[in-house]
Amino acid sequence: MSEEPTFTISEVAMMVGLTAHTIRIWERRYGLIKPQRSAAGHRRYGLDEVQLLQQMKQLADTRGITLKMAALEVQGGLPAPSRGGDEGGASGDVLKDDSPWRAAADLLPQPILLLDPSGRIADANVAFARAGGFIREKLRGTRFSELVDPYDRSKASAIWRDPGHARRGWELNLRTPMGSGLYSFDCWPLLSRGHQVLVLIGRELSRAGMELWPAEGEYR
Amino acid sequence: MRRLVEALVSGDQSRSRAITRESLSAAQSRTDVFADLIQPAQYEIGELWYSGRIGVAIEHRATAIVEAVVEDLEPTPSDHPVRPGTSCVLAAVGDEQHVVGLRVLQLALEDDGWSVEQLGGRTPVEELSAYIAGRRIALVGLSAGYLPSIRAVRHSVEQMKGRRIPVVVGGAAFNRVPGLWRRVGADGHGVDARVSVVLARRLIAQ
Repeated sequence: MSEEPTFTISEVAMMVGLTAHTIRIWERRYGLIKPQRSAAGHRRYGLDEVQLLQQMKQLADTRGITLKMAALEVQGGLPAPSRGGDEGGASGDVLKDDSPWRAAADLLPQPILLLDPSGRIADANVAFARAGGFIREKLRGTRFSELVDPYDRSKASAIWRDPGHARRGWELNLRTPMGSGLYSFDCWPLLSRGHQVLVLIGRELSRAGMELWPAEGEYR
Repeated sequence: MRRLVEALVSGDQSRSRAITRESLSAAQSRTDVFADLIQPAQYEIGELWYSGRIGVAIEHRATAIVEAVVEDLEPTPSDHPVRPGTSCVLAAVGDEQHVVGLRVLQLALEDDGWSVEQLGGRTPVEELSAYIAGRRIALVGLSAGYLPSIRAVRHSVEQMKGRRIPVVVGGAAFNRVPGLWRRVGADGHGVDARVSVVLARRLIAQ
């Protein structure tokens, strides 16, 4: 059990539901995986390579994107594709999202919040919802200070008391359903349709009691 | 997969059942249906919840329908099963209560000839260890949907390693963080039921 398991191409074919021929083609065409070779010259695949193949197949199958695009996304070369073709059908309403701000913000790995002048959350991107374990729609209207550790609340309220000034590296402990964590926020005042909003772009510095939490950018 | 997601989001159990039965009829393998249809659909439902497009009630209703359709699928036993009596224990430890994936893995392993005991969610680490003691267990499978349960998984893996029992981990927490399975000391990561079945065979052969 000390060595990580490796698999033959026929085993990998069984694991990911592809033929060995297709795996060889994907390997050559998309450069996604580079299996090791046994002493006899046979391909040997590790679990990471199995997972890459499985993700690529799943993306191509479920999102209807090309194999080339799927390979690029799995390798981190593309942001997650938009969910095309979702209009209509039973889930059409919930899938519909026509906010350009949100679409752009959702492409970014950094947690991003929009606060109104009263310090309430006007919107958040997916990265923030994921990092904190929130349902995004329920964040709207929530006072940002309610997410902040009581010790840091007066510091947090200073962000929107003087919203005309940008701040860098504003460190706050947040309490979220996923645990408490220390975030560093850069805060930028913006005018949107005549109203002042504050954009908070965050970076997670630590997560109390969770030493196994992935590093920044590692969480997919 | 989109059709199943739509049926799940709209709470249509009979349509969900029809879609999965149709898929089983085409694939002739329950494990393939789990890996190619049900898990991707569940993942998509999770994404909808994460991004705030559906609420927790819709997500829970979808999960309940998934549980029902999983049980509805007829077994498709392997032509080359593992040796009779090869046994495996599956559990979700710590505060982890997401067990649909464990149930799916149980059914996939049973189709492959395994004797599977599933201890369910929120299994205390010490209870799992006590349960394993005195039993001939070839493999342990642990699931984690949330990252906060990872510490309990690591603790369990350490205990199983002390008994020289290989451990496979799986679940959304591991699928989202490449390489996390190594950090908890597991012997392998089953990204879905089909991968887990092949991996399980490999680990008991080592």
